[in-house]
Amino acid sequence: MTISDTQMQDLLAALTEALRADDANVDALITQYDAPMREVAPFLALISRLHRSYVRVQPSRRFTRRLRAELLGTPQTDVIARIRYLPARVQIAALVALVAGITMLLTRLRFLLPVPRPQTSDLGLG
Amino acid sequence: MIGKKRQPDYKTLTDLELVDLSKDPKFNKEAFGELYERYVTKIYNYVYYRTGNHHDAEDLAARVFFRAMGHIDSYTDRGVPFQAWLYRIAHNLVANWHRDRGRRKIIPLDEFVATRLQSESPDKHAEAKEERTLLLEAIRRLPEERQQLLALKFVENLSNAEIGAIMDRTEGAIKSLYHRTLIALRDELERGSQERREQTRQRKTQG
Repeated sequence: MTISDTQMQDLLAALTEALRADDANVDALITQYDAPMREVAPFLALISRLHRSYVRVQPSRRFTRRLRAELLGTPQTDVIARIRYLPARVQIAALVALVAGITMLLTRLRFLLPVPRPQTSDLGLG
Repeated sequence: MIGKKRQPDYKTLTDLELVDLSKDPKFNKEAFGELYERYVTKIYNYVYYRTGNHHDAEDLAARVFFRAMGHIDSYTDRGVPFQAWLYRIAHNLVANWHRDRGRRKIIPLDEFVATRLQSESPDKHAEAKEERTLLLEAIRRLPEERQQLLALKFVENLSNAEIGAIMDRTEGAIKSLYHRTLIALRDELERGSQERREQTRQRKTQG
């Protein structure tokens, strides 16, 4: 005997809820859905393994405090923090634009500055 | 009468009320600060399990909140709760992170395993650590939406309806996706196990 896909989906949802809530009454659920144990057992083991493996982690207090300060403190003046959290593509584009701007400025300056002309005496023509 | 606005008790307000106050220049910092306190750990966990390391989790979690703060004016509750909106931002940033860096195979999470298992014997500890590593490796080989579903279900303890709001699917579709995810994960673990047996056999043959 097997159960339908929809019943299995409902049973898996219910089993997951029970395991997450550390409710030991899993057998009752399996009986309620009239599901054969050989079908349910591999899923039950897997859900239990997932439940054990995914454990909530805590961000460091230093990080949460710093981020809160950056978000709510003085974001307008903290240019570095603002740039740091921009998307990578935007950071790269900004960097390229900055380099291009500096290059153009330097090139322009080269043309604007007077180039020293060689003296005729220096050339041995005097 | 327009007088001086009283500071509300932010902790008692709903997410939606806080979002509205976040749009008001008079209250925005404190109101957004309360939203930040409510969700920073959740978002951090979600990003941590999707990236596998603390450094990138901090970086991406920070980007999520900067983006949320920058776009809070455009948020309106059209059936998508604020929590779901925030997770969608996190999901998009994580997806971009994977795409940009192609880093999917970082094996994470040693330190919390150590914390959780400190009461167990060294042998059991090593065994459990190995079991978790294999499981998390197998999860990383699943398609992105399935990884997302597992993180939301087991780390955040969200219901199928809440996950549906984040992933823009019905509750029934999430149930079905969960069933298919478990089947795929079971197969992936079995395939990994077969590969390891084969490698061991080959090493023995060569030795």
